[in-house]
Amino acid sequence: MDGIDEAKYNSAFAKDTFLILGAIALLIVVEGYVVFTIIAEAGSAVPPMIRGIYILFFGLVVGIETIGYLQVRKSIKQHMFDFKYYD
Amino acid sequence: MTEDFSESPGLVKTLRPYHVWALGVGIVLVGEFMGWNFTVAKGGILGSLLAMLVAGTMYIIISLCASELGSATKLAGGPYDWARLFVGPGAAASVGLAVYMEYIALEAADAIVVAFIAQEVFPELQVFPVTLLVIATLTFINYRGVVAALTLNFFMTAIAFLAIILFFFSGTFGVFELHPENLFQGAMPNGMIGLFAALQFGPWFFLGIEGAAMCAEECKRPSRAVPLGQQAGMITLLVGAAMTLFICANLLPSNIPAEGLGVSVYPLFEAAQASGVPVLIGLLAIGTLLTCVSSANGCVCDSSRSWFALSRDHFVSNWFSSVHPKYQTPYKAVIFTMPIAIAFAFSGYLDQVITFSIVSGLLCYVLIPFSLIRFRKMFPSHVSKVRPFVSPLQPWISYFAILIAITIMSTLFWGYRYNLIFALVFYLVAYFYFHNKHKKHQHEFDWGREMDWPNPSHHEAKE
Repeated sequence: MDGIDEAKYNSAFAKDTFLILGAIALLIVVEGYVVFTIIAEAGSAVPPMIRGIYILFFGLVVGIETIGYLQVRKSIKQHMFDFKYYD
Repeated sequence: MTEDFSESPGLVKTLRPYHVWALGVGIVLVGEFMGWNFTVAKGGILGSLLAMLVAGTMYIIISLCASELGSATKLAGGPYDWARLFVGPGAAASVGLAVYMEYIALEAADAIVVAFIAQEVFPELQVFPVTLLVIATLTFINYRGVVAALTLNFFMTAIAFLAIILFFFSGTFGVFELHPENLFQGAMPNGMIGLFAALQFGPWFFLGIEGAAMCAEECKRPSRAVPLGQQAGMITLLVGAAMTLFICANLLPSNIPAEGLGVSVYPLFEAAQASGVPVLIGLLAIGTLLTCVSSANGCVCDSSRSWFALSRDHFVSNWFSSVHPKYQTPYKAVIFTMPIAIAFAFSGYLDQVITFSIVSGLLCYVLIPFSLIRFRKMFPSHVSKVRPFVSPLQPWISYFAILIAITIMSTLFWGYRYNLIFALVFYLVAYFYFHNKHKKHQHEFDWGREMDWPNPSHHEAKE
């Protein structure tokens, strides 16, 4: 790679990866704690089928965002040298 | 191959991922400090939780679409430019106008709330001049430069978000007493219908996050900054929304819909008061003020970019498309946000203004995923030059987001039917007006010259 400091790039990419994985972990822990605590305390007010809708949308929120943010990491890794992301 | 456009004339290209985060979260975080709790008035705690999860799913998809489209097109108009390139001129101008109205109405509402807060602290102040002062000051900051405006937003937003985090963890780690019985007592006061009705206020948690991608044209490396900053912003909002709902639902009663959490003006601040911890009360008071200012600030930025893009393509007077020679901002479009925001602010109907903003936003949430579906059809191969970030699970999640947006829009029929009808007629008239206006300036779009892209697949099929 012409004029590119690979060590600097790898270090910067590791920071991006840390940010992405940290954010995903925070999302799963907080969202999971809040949704399951509220459902445990108040979920008996609704039929089990409706409780299933909460679980479904919790899964969609966490699942789509996790896949999406990991895709961002993949995109950065793929293009960081071509587009000179860290210069 | 490089993405460095810093030598080209036009808008300054200096923004980084944290600016994108600051723009997106700065606009939206105010929704965690006020407004979201109307979901509780309609559907109780379970209605609010469902609204948060359903709206959250829609906004995740919208923000993924915006990240892909923003990092591909790298244009300031955001939803307007995406619809212009991949849908058509009438839809583009309508969505451009919708974005403009969404943000400018929100700016007006934020400025009014800042003035009310200032008046509560200093009773001798009057709301009218303070609102005017807030709007004028933020317009001036945005006139002077986007970097300064968004760096300011970054610090204000970060302080407000840290206040929420501190409040949540103080509660969960026992610094003050939580009341889990409030969760059950206020679970569902209006029955099953309330769960559905609560959806109409779900967007409050996330309204405007798609605007983070609108600074793509001003980013140094848009294909990294936009997806990284915007998705970080989306996770910030999801975490903030969950923490806010949990802590407020524990501390403020909601068993009677007309009292308590459901009708609170500043729910996070009032929850902090209920905790009885002075440091948290002070932090949440500051957070409430800062999020209003940062939201209004981000709204000036996004609404002016949308107007600038409309002007650049002759949908509105070309006079607004000038870029300041020194500050490299679309200064005429920035200044023009001021009279419109003032007009909204002094209409005297805060809830109507905000509802108009939500309907405008929902119209965008139909057209943004639709633009992405069209983009994928026109440019099916994943060439890095065209599509550096590829959002996952497409086009299925885009169809799902459109379905959720239409469902939420339909719930506005309860309580805001005239607003909904007015807004839809307004944008329908705008569609036909702009469609006819565009014919005067119509020209063959040269993808190679204007976007540096190959021709789309339907051009190749014709050849």
